[in-house]
Amino acid sequence: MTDSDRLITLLKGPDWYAHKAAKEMLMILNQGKRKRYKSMNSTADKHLSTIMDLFDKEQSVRILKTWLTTYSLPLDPDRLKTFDRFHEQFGKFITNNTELIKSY
Amino acid sequence: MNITVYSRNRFYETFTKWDVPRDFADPMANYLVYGYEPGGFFTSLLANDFFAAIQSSHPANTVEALKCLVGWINDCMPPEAYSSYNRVSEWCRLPEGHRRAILEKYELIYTEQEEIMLTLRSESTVEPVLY
Repeated sequence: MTDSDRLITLLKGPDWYAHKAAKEMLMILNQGKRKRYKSMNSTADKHLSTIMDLFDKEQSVRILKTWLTTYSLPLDPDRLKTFDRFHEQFGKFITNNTELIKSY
Repeated sequence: MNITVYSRNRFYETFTKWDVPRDFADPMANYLVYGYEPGGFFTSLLANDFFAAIQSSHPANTVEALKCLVGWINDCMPPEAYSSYNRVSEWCRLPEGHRRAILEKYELIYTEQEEIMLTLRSESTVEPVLY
């Protein structure tokens, strides 16, 4: 991600990024190619790593929740290379605050 | 060890399968999940010490409930956690991570990764009803 992309993303905020990235992943899923899940997972990896770099804990969790609930994206932690990092950084926060996360 | 409501409900679901009453289920859950000492009666029971278990049993405990609990122990409890006094005390001393790994292996609770996904997906979960 270039510095200007970074700045634009930060200015537009986490909600904008959540929807933009989700729509991109949905488009990949709807392409009908045989390897679309693989392609979606690599795109998800890219976005997941971006949100962890750019946004804080709560914003990152809210973005992933939007992908999973609003867009019902079939993200599989076993197929995401960045999920281990996400788990390490935010796992305890998520499992200790299930009620708070429901309200996001 | 901190478990989410999803894991807690999964754990208690195993008790409903065997009709284990709540008075018996709670000490078992606290023992397995948090490593709390289960008390005289349950310690003797888990250590296969029939005489000591009967001696320290509360008058309100019924044979019916005991049968259900023994069925649950045979079916669901990790072998690492029962069969001798030594194993019971070792289980209580186990580090949280080890206890968690064993409970995950026997599918009594979800893995942390599964818990994260269930929480983020806001999956619905129902608390099992014990009598």
